[in-house]
Amino acid sequence: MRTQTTKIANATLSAALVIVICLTIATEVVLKQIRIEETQEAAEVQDHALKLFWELYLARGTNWSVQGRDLMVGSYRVSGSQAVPDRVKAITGSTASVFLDGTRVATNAFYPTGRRAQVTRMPADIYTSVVGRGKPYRGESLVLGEKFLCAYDPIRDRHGNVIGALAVGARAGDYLVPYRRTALRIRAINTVLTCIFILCAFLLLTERRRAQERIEKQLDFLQVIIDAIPAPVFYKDAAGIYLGFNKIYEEYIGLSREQMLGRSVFELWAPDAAEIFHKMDQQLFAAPGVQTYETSAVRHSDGTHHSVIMNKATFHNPDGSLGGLVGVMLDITERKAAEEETRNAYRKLADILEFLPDPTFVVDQERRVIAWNLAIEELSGVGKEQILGNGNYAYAVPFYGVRRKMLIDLLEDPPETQESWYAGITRSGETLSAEAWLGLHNGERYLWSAASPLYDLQGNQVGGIQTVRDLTDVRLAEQERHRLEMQLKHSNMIESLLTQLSHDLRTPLTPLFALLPMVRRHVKDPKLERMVALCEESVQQIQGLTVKALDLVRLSGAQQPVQLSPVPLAGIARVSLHGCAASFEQRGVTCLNEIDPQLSVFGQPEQLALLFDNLLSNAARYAADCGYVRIQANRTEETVTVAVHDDGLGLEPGHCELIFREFYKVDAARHDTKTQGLGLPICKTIVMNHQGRIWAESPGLSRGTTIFFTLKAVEA
Amino acid sequence: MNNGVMIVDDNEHIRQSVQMICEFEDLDLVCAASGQECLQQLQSGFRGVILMDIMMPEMDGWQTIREIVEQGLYRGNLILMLTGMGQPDSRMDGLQEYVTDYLTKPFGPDQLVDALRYYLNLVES
Repeated sequence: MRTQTTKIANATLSAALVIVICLTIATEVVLKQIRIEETQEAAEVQDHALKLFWELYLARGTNWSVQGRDLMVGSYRVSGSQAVPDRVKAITGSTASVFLDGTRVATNAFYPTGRRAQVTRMPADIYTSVVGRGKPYRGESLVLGEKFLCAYDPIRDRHGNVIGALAVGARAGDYLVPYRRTALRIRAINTVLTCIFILCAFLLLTERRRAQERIEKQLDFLQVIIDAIPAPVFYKDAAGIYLGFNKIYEEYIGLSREQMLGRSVFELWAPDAAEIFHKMDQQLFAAPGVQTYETSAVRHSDGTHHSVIMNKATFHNPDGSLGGLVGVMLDITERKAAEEETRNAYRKLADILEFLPDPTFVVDQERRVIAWNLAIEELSGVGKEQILGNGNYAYAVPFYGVRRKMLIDLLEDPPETQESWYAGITRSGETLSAEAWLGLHNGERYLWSAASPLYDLQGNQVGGIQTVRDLTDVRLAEQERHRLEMQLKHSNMIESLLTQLSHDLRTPLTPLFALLPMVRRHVKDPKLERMVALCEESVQQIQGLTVKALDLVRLSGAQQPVQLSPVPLAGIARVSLHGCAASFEQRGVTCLNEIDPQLSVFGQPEQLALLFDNLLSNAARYAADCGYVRIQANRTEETVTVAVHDDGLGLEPGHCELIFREFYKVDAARHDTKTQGLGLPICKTIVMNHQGRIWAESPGLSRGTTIFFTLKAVEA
Repeated sequence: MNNGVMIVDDNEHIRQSVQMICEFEDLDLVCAASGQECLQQLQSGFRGVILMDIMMPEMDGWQTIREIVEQGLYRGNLILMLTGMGQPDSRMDGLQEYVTDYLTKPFGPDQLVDALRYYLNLVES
C-alpha cells in the first residue's frame, strides 16, 4: 500500500512537470509563428514601400547615371534631394535611402540629433551582395546602430552596371511591438500557470506525504495491536494471498515476515492443513461474512500438532468489492488436553467410586441418583439398575423403608433442622456425618455416614456424595472392649486392694510373730502354752494366706508377658527340694529328682522355683508317711512334661480339676489349718504364664496323686 | 559408747516388740519413730546395727539412708532393712551398697536375735 502511494505521488509530479514543459513549448512555438508572420507582413510592407520608391523616381526619369559625384535619374539629381525619400516616408512610414555605390546620398533617416543621416555607408555584407553582385537583399540589418527590416534593390545604369541602390526599411521595434506585447502577456500567463501548477503539485505532494505518514503510523499501530494479541492473527486478499499477520502467526509458521508476505496457504502450511484452509477460505469468499470452524490439522513450527478454532471474517474494499479476509486462530490444544484429562479423571473417578470399599452414592442437583457403587448395592440389597436416575428420596428407601431426607439432603439446612433428622450430627467443613442403627435387608446394622456437596469447576453446586460405613462389628467390638476394660479396671482394683491388704497385714502380724514364741517359751502352764500355740498357728495361717494371696495376685496380674529364658529344669527342682527338705524329713518321705540334668526349658526362674516350692510342699504334706515323692520329666519334641508323683492321699476323680480352684481344699471339713488352698491355683497361674498346661491324675483315694505340667523345651 | 541396736519404725507395736525381745536378750536398743529421730540418734553418737523400716511417713527408709550417708554418719554402723515381700524399689537405686541385709516382716524372735547378734559381732570387729 505504501508503494502504491509513492507511485501515485511520482506520477502526479511527473504529470505536472510534463504539463508545464508542454505548455512552455507550445507557447514558444506559437510565439515564433506569430513573429514569423509579423516579419513576413513587415517584409511585404517594405516590398510595397520599395516599389513606391522606384515608381516615384521613375516618374522623374528612367535612366540612372552618375554625373560627377551626383547620382542622377534622367535629369533629376537624386543626391541631396530628399523629396522622394520623404514622400515614401509620408506614404508608407518606412525609412527610405538612396545609395551611390555604398554611400547614402538621400534619405529620410535622421540622427538623434535631427540631422539627416547622409554619407553613411551601407553594411558591408549587404554591399557585397547588392552592389557587388547586383542581387536584391531582403532581411534584417543594422541602420545607424538600430535593427531594421530592410529591402535593397540595386540601381543599374543604362549599361546595366550597378551604380547604387534603393533601400527601404522599418525599425524592427516597430513592426514587432504587437508581437512582443502578446508574447509578454502569454509568457506572463504561462509563468503564472506554471507557478500555480508547481504550487499545486507541491501541496498535493505534501498532503500525500502526510497522508502516507498517517497511514503508515496507523498501519504500524495496527501491527503493534495485532502483535499484542496472544493468538495468531492474519489477513489475506481476495485471492488468498497473505497481506499481513502478527508475530505469533510467524512463530506458528516458523518463517520470517518477508518469507511469508505475498504467499498462499499452500506455500506456508502442510498440504493437509493448506487444503482445509483453502477450502474454507473459498467457502467464506463464496458467502462473505463470518466463519468459525475447528481443526486439528495445524502443525506448529516446533513440530507439535495443535487443535485450533479458526475465526474468519471477510472485509470489503471502499468500492464494495470483496477485499479479503481476516482470521484469528484460537489455540485450544491445552483446553482439549485438559478436557481429555478431565474425561480420563472422571472415568477413573467412576471406576474408583465403583470399586470403593465404602458404600457410596452420588446425586445430581435434582437429587437423582447418578452413581450407586458395588459396595452400596451389597449393603442395601438394591442394584444400581433399580435406583439410578431415580429422585424423590428413592435412595432412602433401602435404609429407612420410606422416602425421607438423608444426610445428603441436609447439607444446606440450618443446624437445628439437621439435628431434628439425626441426633449427634457433626459438621466438618462442608461435610456432615452421623451414626445410627438402621434395619437393613440383612438385619439391624450400625451405620456411620458422611455427605458432602459436589461442585463444578466454576464453584456451582452440582450435587452431593454420601458414603456409608457399616460399623456394626466395630460398634459391637467397642462395646465388648468397654466391658473388658471395666472388667480389667475391676480386677486391677481388686489386685491393688489385695496387694495393699497383704502388705499392710505384715505390720500388725510382726509383733504377733515376734512375741508369741517368746510368750510361749516363758509360759509354764501347759494349758496356757496350748492356747498360745493355737494363737501362734493362727498367726502362721494368716501369714501363709497373706503370702500366698500376694503371690497369686502378683502372678495373675502380670500386665506384660513373662520373659522366658532357657532354665535348667533339674537345677530349679533341686533348689526347691532343698527348701522343703525339712518337711520331707519330718514325715520320713523320700523325694527322688529324676529329671535329666541336661534338660532345659523356656521359663522364668523365679516363677518356676515358686511352682516347684508349691508342688513339693504339697507332695511332702500329702505323701504317705515314710513314702516317696518322685519328680520326672519327659521330653516330646518341643514340650517337656513334668510329673510330680506322690504315693499318699490320692484324689477322688471329681477332685482332679477342683483342686486348682482358689481356696479349694480336698478336706471338706477344712481341718487342715496349715494350708490355704492357694498353692495349686498359684501353680496353675505360673504354668499358664508359661503357655503350658497343668492337670492332676490319681487312681483314687489313698493311691497317690500325680500333678503334670508342660513347659516349652529348649532344643539340646 | 558400746555398740547397740536401733529400731527405726513408725509403728509403735513393732518398736515395742523389738524392744521386749532385746530386753530379754540383754541387747542395748535405741528406738526411733522416724528418719529424723534416727539421724538425731546418730548425731548424738549412736553406732551399731540399725533396723530400718522402709515405709515411713515424711522420710522413708531410703531417704533416711541417703541422709545418713550424706551427713557422714554411716561409718561404724550396719543397716538391716525391714521389708515386706514387695517388688524391688526404684528409690533404692545406688543405696543397696549401704544395706547389709534384709529382714522380712513378719519375723520371729529367733530370726531377729540371730541376725542382731551376728551383725553386732560384725560391726564390733
